[in-house]
Amino acid sequence: MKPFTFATGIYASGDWESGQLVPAVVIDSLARHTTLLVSPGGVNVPLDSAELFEYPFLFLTGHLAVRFTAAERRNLLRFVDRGGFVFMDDHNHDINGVFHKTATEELARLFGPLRQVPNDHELYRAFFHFRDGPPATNHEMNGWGDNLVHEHLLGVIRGGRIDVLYSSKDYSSEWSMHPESKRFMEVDPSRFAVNIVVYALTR
Amino acid sequence: MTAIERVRRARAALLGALTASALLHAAAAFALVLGLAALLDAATQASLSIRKAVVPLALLGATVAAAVRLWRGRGALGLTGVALFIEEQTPGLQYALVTAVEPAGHRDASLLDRAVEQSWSSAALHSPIRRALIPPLLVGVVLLGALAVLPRAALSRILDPRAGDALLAPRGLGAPESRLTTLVVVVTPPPYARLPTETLEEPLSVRALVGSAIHLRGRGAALPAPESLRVETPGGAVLPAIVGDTWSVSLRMPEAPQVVRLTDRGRSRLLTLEPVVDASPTVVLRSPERDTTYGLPRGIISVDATASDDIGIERVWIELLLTTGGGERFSTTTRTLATVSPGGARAAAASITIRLDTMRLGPGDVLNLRAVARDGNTVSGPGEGSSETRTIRIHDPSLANAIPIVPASVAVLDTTVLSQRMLIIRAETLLVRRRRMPADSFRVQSLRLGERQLMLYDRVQALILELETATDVGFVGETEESKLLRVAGVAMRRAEDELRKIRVAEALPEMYRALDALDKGRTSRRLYLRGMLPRIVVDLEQVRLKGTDSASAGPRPARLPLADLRRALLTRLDRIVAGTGAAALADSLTMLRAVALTGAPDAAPLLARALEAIRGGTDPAAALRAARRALDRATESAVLSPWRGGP
Amino acid sequence: MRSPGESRGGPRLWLERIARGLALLLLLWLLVDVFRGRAEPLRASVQERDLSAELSRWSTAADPASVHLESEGSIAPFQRDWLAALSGAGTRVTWESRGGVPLAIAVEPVADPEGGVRAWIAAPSGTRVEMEDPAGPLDSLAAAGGGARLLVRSSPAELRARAGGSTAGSAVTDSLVLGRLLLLGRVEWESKFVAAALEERGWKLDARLRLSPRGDVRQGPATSIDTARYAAVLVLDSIGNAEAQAVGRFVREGGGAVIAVSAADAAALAALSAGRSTAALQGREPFDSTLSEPRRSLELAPIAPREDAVVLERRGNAVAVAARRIERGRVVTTGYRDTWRWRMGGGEGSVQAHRDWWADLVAGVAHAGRVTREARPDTDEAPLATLVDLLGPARAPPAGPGPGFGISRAWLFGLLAAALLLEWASRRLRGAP
Repeated sequence: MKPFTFATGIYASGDWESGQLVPAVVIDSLARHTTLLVSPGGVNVPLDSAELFEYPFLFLTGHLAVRFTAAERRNLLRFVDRGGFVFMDDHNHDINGVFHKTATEELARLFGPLRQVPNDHELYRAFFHFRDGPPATNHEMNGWGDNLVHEHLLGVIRGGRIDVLYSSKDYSSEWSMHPESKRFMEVDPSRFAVNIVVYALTR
Repeated sequence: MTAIERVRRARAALLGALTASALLHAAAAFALVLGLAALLDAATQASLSIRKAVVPLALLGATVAAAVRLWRGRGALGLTGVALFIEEQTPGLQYALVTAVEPAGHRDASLLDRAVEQSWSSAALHSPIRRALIPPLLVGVVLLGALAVLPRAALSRILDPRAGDALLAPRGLGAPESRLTTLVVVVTPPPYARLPTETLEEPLSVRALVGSAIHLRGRGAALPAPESLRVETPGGAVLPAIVGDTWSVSLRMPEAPQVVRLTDRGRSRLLTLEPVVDASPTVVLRSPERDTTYGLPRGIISVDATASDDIGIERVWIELLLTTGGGERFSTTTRTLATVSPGGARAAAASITIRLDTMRLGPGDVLNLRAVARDGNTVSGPGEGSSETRTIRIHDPSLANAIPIVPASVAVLDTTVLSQRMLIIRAETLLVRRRRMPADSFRVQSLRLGERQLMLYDRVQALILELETATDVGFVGETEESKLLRVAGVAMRRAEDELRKIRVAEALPEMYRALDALDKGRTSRRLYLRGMLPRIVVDLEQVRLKGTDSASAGPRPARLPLADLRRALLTRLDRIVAGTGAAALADSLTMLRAVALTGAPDAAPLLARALEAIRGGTDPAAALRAARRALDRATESAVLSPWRGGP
Repeated sequence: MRSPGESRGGPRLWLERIARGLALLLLLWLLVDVFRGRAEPLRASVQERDLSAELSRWSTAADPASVHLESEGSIAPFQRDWLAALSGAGTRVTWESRGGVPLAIAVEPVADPEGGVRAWIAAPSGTRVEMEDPAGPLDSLAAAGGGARLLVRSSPAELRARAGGSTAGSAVTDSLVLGRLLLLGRVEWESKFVAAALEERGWKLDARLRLSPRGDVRQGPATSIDTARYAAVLVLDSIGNAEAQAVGRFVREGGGAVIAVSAADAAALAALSAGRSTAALQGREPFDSTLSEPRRSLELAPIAPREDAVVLERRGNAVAVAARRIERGRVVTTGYRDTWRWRMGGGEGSVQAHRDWWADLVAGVAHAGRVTREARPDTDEAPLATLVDLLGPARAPPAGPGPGFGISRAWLFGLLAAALLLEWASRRLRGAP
C-alpha cells in the first residue's frame, strides 16, 4: 500500500514554498513515534493539478497573499469533499497580516466561515495528549507577528470532524529546523504534527 | 328653389341621417359585445387574456355595424339616387325630379322646377329618417341601460382588465364561497432590483427574488366566522388584515422554498414560495493575462476587467495588494483603484494603467491584482464577486544571479553536513576501538560506515542534479555551489571505497575533505530556485521508534451515516402514493415538491407535472413514475453468478 | 297386396329394411350419446380471459374427459391451479407451449444498511428480459449463460421479469438484521477511506488499527470476534496469528470476511483467503478519471484463485476479486491496492461508486439474521416450471377419438336422415305406401 506522503500545496499567488523544512521535521516525528508507513521525503503538488488527489494530506503555508485561482478553488473544494485533509498555517503569525486575511477569506468562500476548534477536541488526544489545546510556539512566546498567543486553532468542521485545520500559531517557523537538531531537545517540538497526521489518517 | 337645390338639400338630410344611424348601430354593437362579455365573465370568470380582447372586439363589431349601415345607405351619395328615393316616396312627381337632376340638363328646366314645386313635400323624408334613427337609438338605449345596471366591478373587468382584478369578479351562485376561492398575489421585488411589481391570479407557486414582498389578497372577509381564516408558514401563523370585504397577508420571500397553508372553515389551499437567489457578480480580468516577474520596477501594467450580474452591479473596482519585506517580516497595503459605479447596470467594466516606476517598489516586493464587483443586494447583503488574481513580482538580485526566489539547498546541505560530521565521529571512534574489537566486528562496522557514506553521496548527487538542471527558470549548468558539492561527492566516493576495503584510516582524510567542501558549499552564494525545492529525505531507518515522548492514541469516533435526501424523498413519495387519498394527494405532493426544489431539483419539475395532472383531472401516474425514477438510484445488471453478492 | 317380389323379400326390400334398421340404430345411438353427455376433446389456444370462461364451463356444464391447452406463456397462477384441480378430478389435461419463454426469478434483500434487492433471473441465453417493479419499468437485461442478475439499490417489495409473453414475479419476504463490521489493519489511507465509506453507508464499525508500540487506534470495545456482534470482518493488512485464528473461527461459524490480498499472503490468513497474490499490475498515476472502468487506474495484485473459489471480478485475464465458502461462512479476497485513490481521484460520482463497491463486497459475505415478513400474494416465481410441476411436461394432445364415440352428433343425425330418406325414396319409387 502507498505510504503516507507529506504534500505541500503549490498555489499561484504567494510564497507557498516558505516552509521547506517542515515536511522533513514532520516525517521525522512520524517515524520516531509510530510505525506508520511514510515516505522519507515530502512532495510539492500544484493545487490545480490532478496529482493533488494522490495525496489526501495537504499542507499550505506562506507569508504573502493567498488568492486561489478558479481551478485551485475547484480542486480544493473537491479535495476536501472527497475526504482530503488540509492543514494551513500562517507563517507570519499575524492575524492583521495579508496571509491570514486573504487565506481565511478564501477558505470561508469555499467552505463557509471558519470555526474555533474546541481545546478539548479529539485532535488533541489523537496521539499525544495536549490538555490545553494547541501547543504554543516560540514565535508566540517571543512576541513576533501580532504579539498574541492564539488560544485556538480554527477549522472547517463538519459532523464534528475537522476537514480543514487553520493555524495562526506559525508552526511553519516552529518546525523549520533540521530534523537531526531535535535530538538535542528535551521534548520534540513537532509532536503536535503527529496528532494532526494521525487524525487525518483515521477520522 | 330649383329642383336640383331641393334634391341637394334632401341629400344632405339623408346623409346626415345615415351617418347618425351608422353611429347608433356602432354604439349598439359596441354595447352588445360588452354586455355579452360581461355576462360570460360573470358565468365563467374569463381569463385576463380573453378579457383584454373584449374592447378591441367590441370596437371591431361597432366598426362593422357602422360600415354595413353606411353601405346599405350608399344610394344617398348621388343626386340621382336621392331623386329616385324621393320619387318613391312622392309618386305625384312623375319622374319630374329625376329628369330635373339629369346631368345633361334639360331645356325645359323651369317647367320641371314648377312641376316639382307643385308636388314637392318635405314631409316625404321624415318617415325614412325616423325609421333610420329611432330603432337603433332605442336598441342602443336599452343596451346602454343594461350596461349601466351591471356591477361596476364587472364592467371594469371588461373595460379595464388587469392582473389581480379577480377580486372584482362577480360572486358565483350555488355553493357557498370560502375566503380562499379567489386568491391574488402581488409580488414586489426588493427596491434594489428595480424590477416591476407582478400580480398573479390563482397561483400554485410564486417565484421571486429572496426578500421580495409577497402580498396575498382574497375576499369574503365579511363571510361568517372571520377568525377561521388562517395563514400558516413554517415560521408560524400570520394574521390577515381586513379592509372591507378584502383580506390580505404580507409575507417575505424566504431564502429556502416554503409552503404556505391557507385554511378557512375546513377548506385549505397551499402556496409554494420558490426563492430566486441573487447570484454574485461574475468578474473577468482580461489583462494582465498571467503572473509576471519584473527584473526592475519599471514598466506599465494595463489592467482591464469586466463584470456582469443577474440583477445589477453597484460597484466595480480594481484591488491592489502591495507586500513589501522579507524573511519573517512583511507588510501589506491595500489600494482600491479605478472604481466604477454603473448605477445598477447588469454589465460594467473597469480599467486602469499602472506605472510601476511611480509606485516606489523595491526588490522582492509583490503586487497582487484583481478586480472586484459588488451588486446592490440589500436583502442578504451585497454579493461580491472577484476575478482571478495576477501576481506581479519584482526580482530581488541579492538573492540570486538573475534568477528569482526561494532558498533551496540550505536545508539539504545542513543535514548533509551534520550527517557527514556524525560519520566522521563514528569512523574516528571505530579506529580508536580497533585493537579491542574482534576483526569481524570491525569489518562489519567499516562496511556499515561505507554504506552510510554512499547514501550521503547519493544525496549530494541528487542535489547537484537539481542545482544544475533548473530548466523551468531558464538556468542550466554549474553553479559555484554545485561545483563545491562535486568536490565533496568525489571525496565521499573515495571514502566509501576505502571503507569497503576496511581501510578506515585511509578513508578518514577523504571524509574530512568532503566535509570541508560541504561547509564551503553552505556558505557560498545561494541559488534560489522557485518551484524546484530539493526533496529533503529523512533517514527513516535511523530514527524509527527512537522517540521517547509518551503517547497513547485516542479512540476513533464513529462517522455518521450520510443523510441521503433523495432517498428520504423517495421513501416519502412512495408513502404518499401508497397511502394518500386523492383529495390529499395534491397537498402532499406540493409539500414534497417544495423540499425537492433544493434537495432534488431534477425531480421537482416532474412532481410539478404530476400536480398539474391532478388539478387538470387527468391521471398523474406517468408523471409520478417519472418522478420516482428520477429520485431512485440506478440499477446494475450482471451475468448470472453462483455468488450471492459482490460487485 | 304385395307383389311376389316383395313378399319374397327382394334386394330392394332388403335395402329398405337395412336402411330402416340403420336409422333405428343411429337414433338409438344419438339418444344414448345425449344421455351420456360425452366429452368433446377440446383444443384451445388460450388467452387468459378465454381460459377463465372455459374453465368455468368445464367445471360446471361440460365435464370434459380431456382438455388440451395451447399456452402462450401468460397463464395466471389461479388458472394453473384450476387446471391442476381438473386434472385431479379425472379430466386429462395436456398442454403445449406456443411462444412462451421459460422464465424464473428469485429475489432476496441485500445485506446493506441502505437496503436494496438482488434478483436472479433464469431465461434462455440471448433473451431480452424487461425488469419492473410496482412503479414501472426498471431495466432491460440480456440473458447470458442461462440468465442474469440485477441489483436494485432502492428496496422494492417485489420485482417482475417479462420476456416474450411470459411474466415471472417474486416478492421480498425477509428483512435482515445486520450486525457490525470489524476493521483490522494499520493506520493508513486505505483503512481510513474504507471505514469512511462503510460508515457513510450506515454500517456500524469497530476498528483495530496498528499505529505504534505505545498504542493502536481503536474503535469499539475489545470483544471477541463472533457472529453475535459482527456481520463481517475486513482485514486490510497483515494481522497476528491469534487474531487470524479468531477470524477463521468467526468465518467457519457463519461470519463473513473481506481480505485484502496484501493481508491474504500472510500465513495466518492464507488458509482462509480465496487465493494468493501474483505479480502486481501497475495502475495509473495520477488516477485517470476518464476511464469507463475506473478501477483500471488502481494497482492490482492479481489473485491466483483456489480451486473452490468463485471469480467475482477480472481485469482482463487477471483475477481482481475472488470469493469462496468456508463451512458456514464466506470470504472475499480483493487484489486491489489503495482503492482510496478511486474515491479521491475518480470522476463525478466516484465517492458514491467507491462506497457502493465496498458495500457490495461486504454484502456478499455479511452474516445477517432474517425476519420473515408477511409474504405478498400474486407472486409467480417460475410460471413455466410450476406448470410442468402441476400438469407434467408439454405434450401433444392424445390422438384419435377420446372416451366418446368419436363421431359428432351432426354426422350421426346426417346419417340417420340419409338412411330414412333412402328407405322412403325406395319405397315411394316402387309405388309402395
